[in-house]
Amino acid sequence: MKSEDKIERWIDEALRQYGNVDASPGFEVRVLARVKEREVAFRARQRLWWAFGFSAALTTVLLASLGLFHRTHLPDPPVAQRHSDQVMTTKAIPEHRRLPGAETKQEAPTERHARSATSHKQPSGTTSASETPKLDQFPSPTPLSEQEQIMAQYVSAHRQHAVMLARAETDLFERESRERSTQVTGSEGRLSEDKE
Amino acid sequence: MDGRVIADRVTGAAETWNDALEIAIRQHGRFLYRIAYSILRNHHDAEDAVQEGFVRALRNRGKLKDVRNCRNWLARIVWRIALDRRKQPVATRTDGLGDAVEQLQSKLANTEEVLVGTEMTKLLDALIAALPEKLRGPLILTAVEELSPGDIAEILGINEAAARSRLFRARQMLRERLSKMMEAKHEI
Repeated sequence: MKSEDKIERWIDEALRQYGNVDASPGFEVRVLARVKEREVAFRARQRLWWAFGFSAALTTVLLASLGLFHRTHLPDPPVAQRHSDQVMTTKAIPEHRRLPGAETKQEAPTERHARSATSHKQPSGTTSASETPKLDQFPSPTPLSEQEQIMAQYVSAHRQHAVMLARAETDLFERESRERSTQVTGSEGRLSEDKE
Repeated sequence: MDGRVIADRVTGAAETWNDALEIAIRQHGRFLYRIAYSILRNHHDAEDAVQEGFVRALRNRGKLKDVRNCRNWLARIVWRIALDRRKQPVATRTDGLGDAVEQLQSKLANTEEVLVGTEMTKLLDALIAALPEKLRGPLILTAVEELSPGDIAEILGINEAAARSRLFRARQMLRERLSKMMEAKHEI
């Protein structure tokens, strides 16, 4: 029993040693100074990161808005210009494939091409549908041909006479088409009677 | 100082948190130092741990409003830092301790001399260090400013009953080991 008490006292004494330790003089001042120093450095670093992040975000927004502005405010190139470029590119033939006589045909104005694209069918197998120019206005605005110019001059000079001629032409055309339709219906009726 | 009072000051302007920090260091600095020293057993490391503890506390000052006992909250931070900083695990071998006991018995004539003797302190230090981590923590914390089981529980993040139980088991284990050593040497 006595030895047990002795052991208890030893343990208590040994444990008391843990609590008897004390820091060296000036401990508080040292800790305070170092903590403040670290905190100031940490805040400065944090501020730097914030500034960097903010400037990066601002730059991104500025670049994005600039790009958007350019896209919305830049004027579209004229339609004719777009088509002439397209025609030139689709019809470009490599130098080695050109025939000696075909040189003049290649250098012909693109105007004819544009007109032919609307009026004629392309020969099968030579160009695909994607190669034909896509027009905003159909038919594409083209200058008048020689015949059309003569016609326009005539109409402007003798307007009344031209109107009369046009009416007479229309009447004649309508009459002819009516006759043709009656002939067709008559022949069909005869055919059905024959069958019966 | 109450955690809420410190929190109000620390989360305020820079001058206010400087004052609060100074007050906290002056009030709890040495207590925290003893806690750190009880684990690290080195003055320089203990001071570093306390410093690190205050830095962490400052960075987590948003949590201070929920803190009931500021001293225990700081102690918990420093305790964890000290445990992290103890790079090598404490030696758990007690093989060489028998010789120390023999030397003690031969050197010292009475118990009073044993109590003040450095050899006994060293021996018990080694025995405490050889205790399992779970039991050593509460035992050391009772020695530091005689913390109550409630405070120990708060610092270690366990409940009070567990703290009491661990404290009892630690003392019992220490008693058993020391008496076994003494008996063994007596038989020889």
